[in-house]
Amino acid sequence: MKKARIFFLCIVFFLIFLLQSVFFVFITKINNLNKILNIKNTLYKIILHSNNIENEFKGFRINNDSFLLSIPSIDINKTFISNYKDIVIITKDKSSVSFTLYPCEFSIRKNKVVRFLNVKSIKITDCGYINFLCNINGEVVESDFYINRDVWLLPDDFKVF
Amino acid sequence: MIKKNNLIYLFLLISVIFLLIGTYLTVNAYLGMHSIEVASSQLEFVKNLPFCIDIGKNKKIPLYKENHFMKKYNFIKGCISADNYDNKPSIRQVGVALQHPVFFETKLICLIDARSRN
Repeated sequence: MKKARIFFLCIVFFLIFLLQSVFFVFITKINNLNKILNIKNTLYKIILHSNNIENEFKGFRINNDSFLLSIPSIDINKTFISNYKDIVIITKDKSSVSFTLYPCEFSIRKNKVVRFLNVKSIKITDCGYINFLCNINGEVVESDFYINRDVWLLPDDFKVF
Repeated sequence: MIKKNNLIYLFLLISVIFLLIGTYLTVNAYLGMHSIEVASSQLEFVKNLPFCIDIGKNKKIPLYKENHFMKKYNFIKGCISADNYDNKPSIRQVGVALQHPVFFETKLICLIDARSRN
């Protein structure tokens, strides 16, 4: 085989190896990014629907790694049920974040758990704007969103997780 | 007739070109997704402050606070601009544009109610 052809093949295989590595790294990063955006969107929807932060629910006491939000209950006709509320528990275990919905007995909503794995850290601060910072496998996303309401949902500069 | 070896080299070259395009698009997709997050965060701040940007002027972002992504990838630059929508002073069109390296740009546009309140 000629030297030129060997050189050409070496260059081509090196390029293929390099490009596939970059491709793999960025596909993994996009996957992590998608997971983070899913967490953010879930949180955003919950905060959008909720109207209060709770201190206790059926013996479940909040600690540094969790918080409770209440959502007004709705019945089968999609009207609010007075004096009843559905509870969402947001917890952070070692490497996962879960959103658990506990509806009241008359609510049309069903029990639901959404769990996201490999979450290294998550921070939510509420100072008018809700600042969301999440880290999954080294991929960090910081984003802000605003909920148009008079009462701040979380205490000022309250760090969750 | 094209030799068998030459045909293999040709296919190798074509595969490298496709891989190059695919990798480029993947990297840009990643940067684009992040840029949309940055741009939407900036628009969230501006949404309630319609008069903070003068009409026809560009301001560099991040506007109010540092953004983790823009700090990490400092080659990504962006600006925010405002204009009257359809020549109506009561509606402002605010746009955030982020430039990625080589030909790509992410742009988000938002319409804001700019009626003055007393």
